[in-house]
Amino acid sequence: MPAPRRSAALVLATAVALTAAACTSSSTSSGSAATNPAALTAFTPTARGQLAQVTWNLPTGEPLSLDPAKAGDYSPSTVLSNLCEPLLRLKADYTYGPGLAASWKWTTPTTLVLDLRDDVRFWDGTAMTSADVVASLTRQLDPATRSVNVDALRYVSAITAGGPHQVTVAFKKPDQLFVKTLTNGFGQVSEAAYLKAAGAGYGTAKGGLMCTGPFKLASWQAGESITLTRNTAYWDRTLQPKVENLTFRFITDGSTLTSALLSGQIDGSYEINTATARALAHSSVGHLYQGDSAQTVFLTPTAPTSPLADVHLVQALQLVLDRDAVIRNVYDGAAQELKTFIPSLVWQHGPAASTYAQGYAALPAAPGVDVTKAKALVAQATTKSRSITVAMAAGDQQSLQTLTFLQAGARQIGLDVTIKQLQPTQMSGLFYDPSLRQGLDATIVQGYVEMPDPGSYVEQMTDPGSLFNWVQYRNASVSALLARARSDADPARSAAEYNQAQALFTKDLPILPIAAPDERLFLNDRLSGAPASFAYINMPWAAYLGGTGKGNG
Amino acid sequence: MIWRFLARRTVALLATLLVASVVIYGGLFLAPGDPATLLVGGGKPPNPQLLAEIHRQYHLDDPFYAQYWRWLTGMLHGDAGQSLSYHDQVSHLITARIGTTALLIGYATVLIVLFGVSAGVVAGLRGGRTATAVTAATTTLMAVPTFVSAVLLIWLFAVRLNWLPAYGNGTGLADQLTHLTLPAIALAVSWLAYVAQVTRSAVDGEQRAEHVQTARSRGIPERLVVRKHILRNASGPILSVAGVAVAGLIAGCSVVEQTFGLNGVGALLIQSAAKQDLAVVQALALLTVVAFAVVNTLVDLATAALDHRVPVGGAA
Amino acid sequence: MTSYQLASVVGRRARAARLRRLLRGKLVLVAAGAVVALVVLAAVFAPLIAPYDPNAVDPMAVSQGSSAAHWLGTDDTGRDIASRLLHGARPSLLAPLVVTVGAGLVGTALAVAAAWLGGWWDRAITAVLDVVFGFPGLVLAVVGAAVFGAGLKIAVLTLTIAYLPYVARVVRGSALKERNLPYVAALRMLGLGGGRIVLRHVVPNLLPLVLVQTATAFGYTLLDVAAFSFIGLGAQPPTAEWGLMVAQGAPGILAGAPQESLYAGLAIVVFVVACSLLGAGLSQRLTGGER
Repeated sequence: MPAPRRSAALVLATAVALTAAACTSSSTSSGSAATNPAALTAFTPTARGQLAQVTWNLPTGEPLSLDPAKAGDYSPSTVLSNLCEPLLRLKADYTYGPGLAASWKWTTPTTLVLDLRDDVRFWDGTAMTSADVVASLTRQLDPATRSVNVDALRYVSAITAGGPHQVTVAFKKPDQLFVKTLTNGFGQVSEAAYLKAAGAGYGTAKGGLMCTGPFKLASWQAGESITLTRNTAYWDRTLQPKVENLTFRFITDGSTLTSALLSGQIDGSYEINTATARALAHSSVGHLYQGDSAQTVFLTPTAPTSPLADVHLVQALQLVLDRDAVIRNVYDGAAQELKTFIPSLVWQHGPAASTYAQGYAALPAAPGVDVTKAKALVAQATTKSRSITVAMAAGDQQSLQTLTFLQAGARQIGLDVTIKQLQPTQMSGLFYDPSLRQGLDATIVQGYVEMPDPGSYVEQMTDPGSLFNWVQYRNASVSALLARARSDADPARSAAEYNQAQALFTKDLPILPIAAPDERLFLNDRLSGAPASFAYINMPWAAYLGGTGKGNG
Repeated sequence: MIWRFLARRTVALLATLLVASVVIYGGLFLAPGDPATLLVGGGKPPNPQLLAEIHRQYHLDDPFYAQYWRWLTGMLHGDAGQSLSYHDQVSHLITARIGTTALLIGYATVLIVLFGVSAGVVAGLRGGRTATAVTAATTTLMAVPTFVSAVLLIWLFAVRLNWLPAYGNGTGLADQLTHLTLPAIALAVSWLAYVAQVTRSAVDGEQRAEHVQTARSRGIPERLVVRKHILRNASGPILSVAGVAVAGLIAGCSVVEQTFGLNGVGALLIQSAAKQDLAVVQALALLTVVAFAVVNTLVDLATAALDHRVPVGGAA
Repeated sequence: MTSYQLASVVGRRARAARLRRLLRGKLVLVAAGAVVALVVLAAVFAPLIAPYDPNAVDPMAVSQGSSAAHWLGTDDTGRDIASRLLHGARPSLLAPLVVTVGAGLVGTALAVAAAWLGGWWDRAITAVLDVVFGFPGLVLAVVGAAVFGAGLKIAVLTLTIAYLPYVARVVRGSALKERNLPYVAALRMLGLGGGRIVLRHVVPNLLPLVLVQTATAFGYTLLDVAAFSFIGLGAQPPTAEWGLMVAQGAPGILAGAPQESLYAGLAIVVFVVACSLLGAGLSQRLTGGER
C-alpha cells in the first residue's frame, strides 16, 4: 500500500475525555447576538508596550512532542511556530512569503533552489547554514524520527547543499505542493549538530530544541507548563518579541478555562469554544476577537458498507440538517456555511484566487431544509439500512449538539441516527485501524487545512491509496485532475484543474459539510497584537504580542 | 494481637494489589483503541509505518503476559515504568504531583475536623434550635454532589466576587493554600456535613448516658463533664467516620482536581486512563489501594485504642 | 463509591438518632414521603404528563429561560427541560435502585453464607470482599468503561460491586451474632436443616437491618450514579438523566444560561434530602427508635 498523501492536516478533536466531557460544552444564551462581531479581523490592534510575563492556554492539551517533525496538531504547532522557523512563512491571510529562505525558484520543473538568509543564528549563536536545512529535511525520511510529514517527501529524489546558503531539492516528478509544505512543521529548521546529539530525545522536555525563532524553549514540566523566553538576538528586526516570558498551560476543560480567563490567571487563548465565548463576551477583563479560519467540520461515512456511502442518503441528510440553526446555536454565529468541506481561506488571497472563486461560485448552492425532497432521495437510495451510528469524541459538546440536531432531522425522514461517544484512543485510532471503525457508519470530523492549498486535503478522501478513503471512493477523473493540479506550475491552471475535480467530487463523494468555524481568540485587556486569523498556527504569533498599558501588566 | 492484625491486613493488601494490578492492566489492555495513535498527534493523516515504529519502540505488540511481566518485574525493582503519553518516568510524574494532592486532602481534612466536629459538638450540646438548624443544613449539604458544589463555588467566589482563584496550583505555601481553598471546600463539604451529623448524634447520645447524668448530679463542673465524659466517649465514632471521610476524599479528589485545573495525581489518573497510559494508571490505582488500606487500618487501630471493648480485628 | 460508606459505616444508632429532632413533628416525614412519592409517580407516568417529547429539539427555541411554553426553559438544543427532568427521573431512580437492591441481595447472601458456614468459607469470602473493598471504585469504573464502553449498565455493575463489601461487612457482623443466639441451637436440636434455619429464621431477622440500609443508602447511591454520568461514565446522550443534565448544562452557568444544570442539580438535591429524611424515619420505625 502506498503511503497516503499528506499535505493538509486532519485534526481530530482529541480533547481529554472523561471530565472534559462535562465541560467543553456550549449553549445558547438568550442575549447571544451581541457576542457575534460583524467583521472578521486578521490582526488584533497593534501592541505598543513590553510585557514581562504572559500566560497562554492550549485548549487541546499538552503537546506530546515539540519536535517539528512530529508537530501536526493544534497544541504543538501553536507552541512551535514561535520557536522553530520554517523556510517559508505563512501570513495572516493564508498566503506565504520568504522565511529562513529569502527566495526560491524552480530552475527546472523538477529542481527547486532555495536561497537561505545568511544573517540567521540559532539560539546558541551558531550561524544557520544549508547543512542545517538539509539535516532538518532529510531526517524526516528516517523511520526512527517518526515524522508525520513523510508524504511531503513523496516525489523528492535528493536534497543537497548547493553552497553554504543554498539548498537544492531534486524531484522525481513535479510537485508544486512541496513549496507549500515548507510553511509548516516540515519546513522548520533545527541545528544539525544539536539534532545529532539529541537523537530520539529531540523536542522532548529533556532533549530540548535548537532553532532560530523569536522565542527560546526555557523549560517544560510534563503535565504542568511549557515556558518560552524571548530571543533577544532574533534576526528579524521588524519582529522583535515584546513579551519576555511566555508560559503555556494545558486547560482542556471549558468551564475551567472560562474562569481562569475571567479571573485573569490566563491571559489569552486561541480556539475558544462557544460556551466560553458566550461567558467572555460581556466581560470587562478582555476582548474576544473573531478571525478567518481554515477549519472545517463535516460528516463522513467510515466504511463502504455504511448506509451513508450512498450519496442519496448524504444528500437527504443535508436537506434535513438545518445548518443555519447549527451555525447560530452551536457556533453562536461564528462559522460559515459552505458549499463544500474545504474552507475558502486556503485559496481566497492566493495568486489564483479569482479562478478558485469562479469554481466555487459554479458549485450548486448549499440547500435549505426540504423534507419532501429528502424523503424522495431516501426512497431512491439503494441501501436498505436506515440506521446510522455516528462517532464523535467523548466530551465534545459542539459535536454532540450538532449531531443532536442531525438526529432530530434524520428522524423526520425515517433515518435512525445513534450517537456514539468514543474515548480519545478510540477516536484517534479510527483513522488507522479498520477494526475500530466496526459498528460505526460515520464520524464527525473537525479538521483544518494546514497549507494554502485545497487539493491536498481532498486527495486524502478521494485517492484510492489513501488510508482516509474509507468508502473506497474511485473516480479516475478526480484523481487525475488533482494530480495535475498538484504538479502544475501555473497557479491559475492548477486552480482550474482543481475546479474541474471539485465539480465532479461534489456530486459523488459522500461527505456532508456542516460548517467552517471561525477562529475565536480571547486576549486580556493588558495585551494585544496577536493575529486573529487561523494562520497563527504556523506564524510566530507571539512575536506580535505586547502590552497595551491597560490592566495589571 | 495487634501484630497478627497488622500481618493479616498486610497480606490482604498485597492480595488486593496483585488482583487490582492484573484487572487494571488486563482491562486497559483489552480496551479497544490504540494508545500509539495518540502519539502520532491527531493533526496529520494516517501513516502505518509511523505507527508500527511506535509499537516497536514501546513493545505494544507483545502479548498481555509479556507486557504485564515486564511491568511487574520492573515494579519489584522499584521501577514503575515509563509513561507513554508524557515521555517521563511514572515515578517522576507522581512525585511531582503527589504534594498538591496531599495538601488538598490535608486541607479538606482540617476543614472537616475543624468545622464538622465543632458544628456537631455545638449542636449536640446545645440541642434545640441549634441542633435542628445544623441537622437541616447538613442534610442538605450531604445531598449536594461535589460536581455541583464545585461549579457553584467557582461561579460565586471566583467569577462573581473574585475573592479566590478558581484555577491552578499556585507557588509557595501561602499562595498554594489560597489556590486550594475553593477545591478543598468543594471536596470537604459533604463529608463535613456527614461528620457534623455523626458528631452531633454521638454527643447527644453521651449527653443522655447514665455516667454523664451521674457526673452532673455529683456537681462536677459542666466544663469537666463535657470534656472528660461526653467528648472523650463520643470520640470513638467521630474518629471512625473521620477516617472514612479521609478515604472518601482520596476517591473524590479526581473530580475536584480536574474541575479546578489542579495538577494532582487525581487529575493525572483520569487523563491517563483516557489515553490508555497503562503504566501511569496502574501505578496510581495501586497507590490509591495502598492509601485506602492504610487509612482504614489506622482508623481500626485508633478505634480499638479508644474503646477497649472492641477487640482489634474483630468482626466489623 | 464512598457515599455508601456514609450510609453504612455508622450503623443504626447514629442513623436513627440523626434526624430525631426534625422528625419530632411528623410533618417533615410526611413531606419527605410526599416528595419521594411524587418523584416516583412522575417517573412512572412521565410519558403521560411531560408536555414535550424529551428528545424533541427546537432550533428556534434554544437555551431559553422559563416561559409559559417551557416552564423550566430549554437546553442548548431547544429541548424542554421540564420534560427531560420528568423522563430523566426514570434512569436516575432506576439505576440506583438496581444498585442498592443488587448490592443488598448479593451482599447479604455472601455475608450470611460466610457467617453461617464459618471456617474456610468465611475466610475466603471475607478475603475476596477485602480485595474489592480496597479497590478504588473510580478506577474500576474507568476500566469497565474502557473495556465495555461507557454506559449506565456498566456504571450500575461497577457500583454494585463496589458497594458489596460495605453491605456484607455490616450484615456479617449481625449474622454472626444471630448464629450464636440460643434459638438457633434450639432449632438445630429440633433437627432443622441449616438451609431452612437460615432462610426461615436468620435472614428474616436480619431483614430489617438490610432494608434500613438499602432505604437510607438509596439517596446517596443516586448521587454516585449521577456523578458517574457527570464525568461521562454513566448515562450517554441523548438520554435524559439528571447527572448528565447537570454536566451538559454546566458550561451554561458561566455563559448566562444556568437553567439546565440548576434544575437538574436541584432535582437531585431535593430528592436525596427527601430520601434521607424518609430513610431516617423508616429506620426509626423498624428499629423501635433510638437505643
